[in-house]
Amino acid sequence: MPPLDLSEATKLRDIVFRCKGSKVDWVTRALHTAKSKNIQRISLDLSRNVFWQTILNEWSHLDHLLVQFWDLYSPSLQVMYESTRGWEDLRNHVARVLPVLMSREIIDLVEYPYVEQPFPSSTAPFI
Amino acid sequence: MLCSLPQEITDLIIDHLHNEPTTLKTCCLISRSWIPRARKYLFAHIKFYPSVGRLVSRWRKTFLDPTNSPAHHTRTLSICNPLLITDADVDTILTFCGVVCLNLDTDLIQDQGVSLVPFHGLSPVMRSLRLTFATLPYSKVFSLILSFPLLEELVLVSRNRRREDREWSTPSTSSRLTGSLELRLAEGIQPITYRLLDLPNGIHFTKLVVSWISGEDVMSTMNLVSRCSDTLESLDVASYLCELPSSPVPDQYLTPIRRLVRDASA
Repeated sequence: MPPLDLSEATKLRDIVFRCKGSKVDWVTRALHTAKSKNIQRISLDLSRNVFWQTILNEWSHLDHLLVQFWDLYSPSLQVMYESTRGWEDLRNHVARVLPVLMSREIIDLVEYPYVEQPFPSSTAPFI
Repeated sequence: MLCSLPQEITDLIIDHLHNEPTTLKTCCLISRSWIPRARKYLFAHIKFYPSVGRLVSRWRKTFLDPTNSPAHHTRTLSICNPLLITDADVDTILTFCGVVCLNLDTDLIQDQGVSLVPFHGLSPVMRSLRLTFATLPYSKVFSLILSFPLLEELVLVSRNRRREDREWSTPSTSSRLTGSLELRLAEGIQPITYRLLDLPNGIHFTKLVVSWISGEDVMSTMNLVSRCSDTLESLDVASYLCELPSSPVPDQYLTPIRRLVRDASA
């Protein structure tokens, strides 16, 4: 799968990546192409599945890339999660997969209320 | 004393009560001169669901004179299951001629027979359209979209996959589509995207919200981003696209089990 190319979107200010599957590498690959100097916020909406991902290397790349973004442009960085997940539970998971961001305390954890999946389970076979 | 207040002062007071419907209803009972301003807020958002036929009929009986109907105050109109709208209801729907935001939900599993014609060009000032459907043909969806010349925002949500629908001819004109685009489609965004990219006035969205369920959706999103590159400020991507994890259980728990199995088989 080719990366999502954001190089042409030079006015991009706000990006939300919702990882509803188990992969995060597509986020890293998309962010690598971002050329906008106006980015003010990058949000990751992480589902429970994404923590099954055992390839820590992918997380490590994302961790370092987001740190680079913060050093360059100081955007607001957020990890969003549904309120069904315990806060401490999520904090531990995020600290495990994004250790630099968490240790530097430059990423916020934002809770949002549970919303129904946009697709019925029968039409979302990839979940 | 109240009657001596200039009308603009009364209106200003009522404006401050715009999000207090109970108080606004009371205002309507105080003075006839207060009614128009209070109605502006009381009837700003109208929902005809879950039973659209019964509710439209009730509206028609309540406001017998269409010229005096508060429908012209309505800015957001939400209708569920337009299949139940009768010919008599259509005339009532057409009185909502100042609607800026239209929400339509076909609320059916098989909705290809639903006609959207009664809503075509409903309001010349329509800015936002949200359509939730199942198997409604895209030709019908786009006929509706193209009937609003000032449309800026578009939300399309489909619940069911449908047979491939390739019917399309490039329209002669289209709105500029300068607001936000949200696509949550059970069969993927590709069928809608290639039609949007073909619109004669182009697309100039400032916000894109898309869901991926196949690799084609990634390419479609890239095309949308590329086409809106001069205006795009906000991007929201939800990826349901992934390989299933090799195991839902972390390796740290599986390793001892694998060792036991290996030892047992040895």
